[in-house]
Amino acid sequence: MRYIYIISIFFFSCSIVPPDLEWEDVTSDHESTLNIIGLISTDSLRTSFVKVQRTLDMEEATDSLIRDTIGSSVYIYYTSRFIVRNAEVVVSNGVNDYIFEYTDFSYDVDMDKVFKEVYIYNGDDLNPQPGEIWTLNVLVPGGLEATGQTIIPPTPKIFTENLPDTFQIFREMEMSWLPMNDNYQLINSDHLGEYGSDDYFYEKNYLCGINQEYIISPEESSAIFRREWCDPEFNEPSWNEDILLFSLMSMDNNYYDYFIRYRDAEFTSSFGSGGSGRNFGINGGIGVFGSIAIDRHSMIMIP
Amino acid sequence: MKIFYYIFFIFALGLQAQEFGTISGFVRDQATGEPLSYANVFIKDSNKGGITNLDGYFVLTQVPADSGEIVVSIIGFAMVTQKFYLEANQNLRLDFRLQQTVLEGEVVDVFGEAQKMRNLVEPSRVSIDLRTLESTPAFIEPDLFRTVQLLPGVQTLNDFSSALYVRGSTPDQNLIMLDGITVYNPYHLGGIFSTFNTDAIKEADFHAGGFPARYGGRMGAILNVINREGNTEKFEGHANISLISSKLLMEGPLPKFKGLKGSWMIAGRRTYFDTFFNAICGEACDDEGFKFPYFFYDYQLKVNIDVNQDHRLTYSRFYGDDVLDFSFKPTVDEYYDINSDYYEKSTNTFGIDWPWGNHTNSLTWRWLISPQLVARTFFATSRYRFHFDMDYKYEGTWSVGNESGNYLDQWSFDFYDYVDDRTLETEISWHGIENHQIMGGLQLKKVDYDLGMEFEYKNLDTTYYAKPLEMKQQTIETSLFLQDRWKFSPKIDLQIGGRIMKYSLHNKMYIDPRFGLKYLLQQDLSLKFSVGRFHQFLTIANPEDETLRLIDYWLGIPADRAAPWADHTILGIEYLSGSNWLFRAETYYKHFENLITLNQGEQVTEGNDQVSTTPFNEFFDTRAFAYGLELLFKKTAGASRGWIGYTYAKTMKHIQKHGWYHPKYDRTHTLNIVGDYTVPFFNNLHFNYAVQASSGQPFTPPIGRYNHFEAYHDPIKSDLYQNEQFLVGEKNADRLPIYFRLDLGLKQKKSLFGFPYERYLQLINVTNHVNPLSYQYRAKENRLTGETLGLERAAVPMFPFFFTAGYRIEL
Repeated sequence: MRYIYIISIFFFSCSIVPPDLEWEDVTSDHESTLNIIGLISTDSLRTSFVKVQRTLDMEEATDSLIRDTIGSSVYIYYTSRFIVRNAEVVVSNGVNDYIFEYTDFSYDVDMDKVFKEVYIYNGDDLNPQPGEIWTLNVLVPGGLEATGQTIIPPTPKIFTENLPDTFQIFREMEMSWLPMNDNYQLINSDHLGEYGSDDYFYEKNYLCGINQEYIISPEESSAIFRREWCDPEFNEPSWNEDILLFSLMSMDNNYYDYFIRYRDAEFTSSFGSGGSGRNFGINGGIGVFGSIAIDRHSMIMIP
Repeated sequence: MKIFYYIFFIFALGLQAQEFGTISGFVRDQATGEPLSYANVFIKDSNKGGITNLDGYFVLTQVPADSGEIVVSIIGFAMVTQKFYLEANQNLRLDFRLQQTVLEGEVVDVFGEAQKMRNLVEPSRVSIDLRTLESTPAFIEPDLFRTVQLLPGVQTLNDFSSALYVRGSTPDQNLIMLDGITVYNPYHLGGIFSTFNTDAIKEADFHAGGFPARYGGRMGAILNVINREGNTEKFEGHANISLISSKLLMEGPLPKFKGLKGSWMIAGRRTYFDTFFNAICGEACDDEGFKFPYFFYDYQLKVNIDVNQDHRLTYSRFYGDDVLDFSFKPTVDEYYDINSDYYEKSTNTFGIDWPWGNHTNSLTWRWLISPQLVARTFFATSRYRFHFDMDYKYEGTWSVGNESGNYLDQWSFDFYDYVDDRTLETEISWHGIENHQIMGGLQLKKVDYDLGMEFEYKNLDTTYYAKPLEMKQQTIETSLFLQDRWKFSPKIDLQIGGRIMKYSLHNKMYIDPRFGLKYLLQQDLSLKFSVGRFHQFLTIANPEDETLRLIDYWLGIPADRAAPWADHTILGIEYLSGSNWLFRAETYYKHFENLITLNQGEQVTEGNDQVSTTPFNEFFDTRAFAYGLELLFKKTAGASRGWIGYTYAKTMKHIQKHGWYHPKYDRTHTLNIVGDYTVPFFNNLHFNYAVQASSGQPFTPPIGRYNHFEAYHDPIKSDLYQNEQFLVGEKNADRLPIYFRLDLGLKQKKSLFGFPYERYLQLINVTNHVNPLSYQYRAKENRLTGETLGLERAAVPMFPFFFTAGYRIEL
């Protein structure tokens, strides 16, 4: 006779015993490689530089604790173990070699920015020209070595003759520039006034704020610009005028790929953001060796 | 002279034709009337025999006209022998009813098992019946997929998934059918359980590969689940409550009406924890408007109508849904400032509504045109859908003095996938030529896909609407197949066939040849070989590295992509020992082309678009291969029964970004030992056990750290910022630790005051072995200085040790 089941009673044990977490060190046998950020600039207000760092394996600390005694004072600080301070860095245009020297701390030309832990050229005859091929050689005592190559992009040009004398908030303005067949450009703007420094972006059906950037694809030659403050308070006529500064930057493909196209982390995992260590214009290491050129234009900005 | 020869030849043929007849009929369970498939039917003292098909139907052709004895046997039932007398050209109809026996008794017919082994040509095929499901250690309740996962050649992803990875194929490459209807999401509870109610299952046919031409449209495995037909003899009902769900099954004969006979079965299941929780929570939950957010249900209905001896109509339905409904009562806040006379009232509502599941219907007409010619026409609809709907609304009014205003912030997000499958199929089986079983058929399958994502934002001034994903396809697959099961010689059986397919989005025909051979080395020792090509016209857009897979996102193969295909080559040997052990060793090689893998995770900026890769419509071209060796020892009768399965397997995939790599489901070694033992000296006490051990899964470890730089572009103060990131090595180059799990169980039938009941105890992961699902990480820091010294990791464990126990009362 087949059984007919009326009810079956289950009870669930309260003695579920989840095991304790056992933490263990993450180890690897990764061999350190060079991580290089090199930038050649034709713009007199942007200094060319090369950052030389290395990758660390999983067991290495990222910082070293330094204890310095100067006179009777003891200074304790951390230094990054990523940074390589004793590399030979040579940048060449095929005619001349330029030796970049390491500096822990240095002011940029406009005295408004500092360079830290980079290699820069201390001479004044570094003069890259559009279309030139520049190479990079980095050699670290102990065997790490990397090379790089970049093609200097064309000089950008904002066509200012078609622009009005002033830029008015809320109003549209068409800007045009010299298009480039093979290079991307980036145009952005900022104002010099003190208010609006806490401006922010949010998306309604357009971006707001004065500081915005726009990526220009190859062969693109013009765009419509419209600006307004995100904070409605600044859109009231409580200010008379400001200076609006436009910057049009052309870049080689290495720069575009590293800083624009692949700027986000390759993935996010349970251990954090990560990547496979891409290289653009670098051989024997990871990072980028790129080049840029800049044109600028300033306008009076009115409410 | 020649003319006389021809006349004599024709006359001799005629004489021969007149000396034979046909015997056919159905084999059923005596107690319930359920058809018994793979029952062995043979003429004693002859080599004439065959097995019943899934409908329990057998036909023996070219049986010498004479008296004889026909024997019908199948494991678990008492053998039946019946004398017959067959006249020349007679179609003798003989139907049989077999009585169940206990599995552990020695009266089981070993000879019958051998006959079954002799009759099946294709390798890699296992039948699982209800008894096997109930005797396998269960995770809370018996589950078909969990049992199939214990077979050699089948890999698992983790403890939380019942999905089947078979010989390098992913779950989307398997054809899962219920009574012949394709089921697109055969899981509940995010994959922890399959969608099949085991109480309603009669048996399940699992082909790990090399399946014949009648099946197509998939590259991996076939799992054909056959529901019970219903008791044709009397009404019966079963009900039980488990930790997860409550079940009810009812079945019985159809009321006799104008000569019509038949049966019906309806089985339903629903989780009850939400009802239980809401009842306990009571007012506390009512005030918040909260209710337990999740439940699943499914029900199956099957009605069989025997119009007459030759015509049968079957209606089958399956409805199953998981529902996640997470909502609170709207919260209302009020605020008043007496100094400024400012008053504000706001309302906040949030909700998630997420149903997903399958609704299927089918109507089958079986027609015995003649004993040798059977036609089956089948129309089915299978609808799969999931629809994730999240809504948020914040609105309010304010007033200060004579001024007033209102505000609104509202957004909604919808993510959905709908698959609508309508299939019309006709299949004809013909046993008209001796030593040949020919089958052919036509299938028309119309499948509509709609995968999309919508986002809407609204406030008082603006409405913003975006549909970042919209993939709609309407496809038709037309297939024609023909296969012949040819008894080439007493020792050699061939199964030759092919399938021709047309996919409406492609401008070409696809041909899938299939070939199978069985060579009987000795009475109970056979060699099997199979080779074939298998095309597929749909895929899923799930990230291949996902750890927990809740649902499948189905897509048809786009018009601009070639159809994926795989070649299977299988070689195996099977032996049935005198003491009722089945030994099988198989080796296989599979080669895959035109696969596609979702481009997951990486964001790329093109022009001014922040993200150009949308979630589901960027794929990598992929190819793969898989090979392995499987060993199976199986004992199906006696006091102790079960199986030991070992698999050595390797699967590699290739995409340009990573090169060749091991996919997440690749496990090199897998050992499963499953058993049920009748404990002596105790009445009806069964001890069951399952040992699962396998190589760890591949994963991608971090191997180093580096600084990634971002540029802040500003005309005045451009700068560089660095952030530390992890460097990873080759994809899936490392392995998690070995997986090991031991489950034990005890079950005993007893009686109290004449009422039988069953008590049981199940222990899961008895050794409390930590089986990692993945790793979690944390920075290793010097506690005194705060200096980062490295990274630490700890395994995220899967099932810990736990047990369930209870009673099942029977009346």
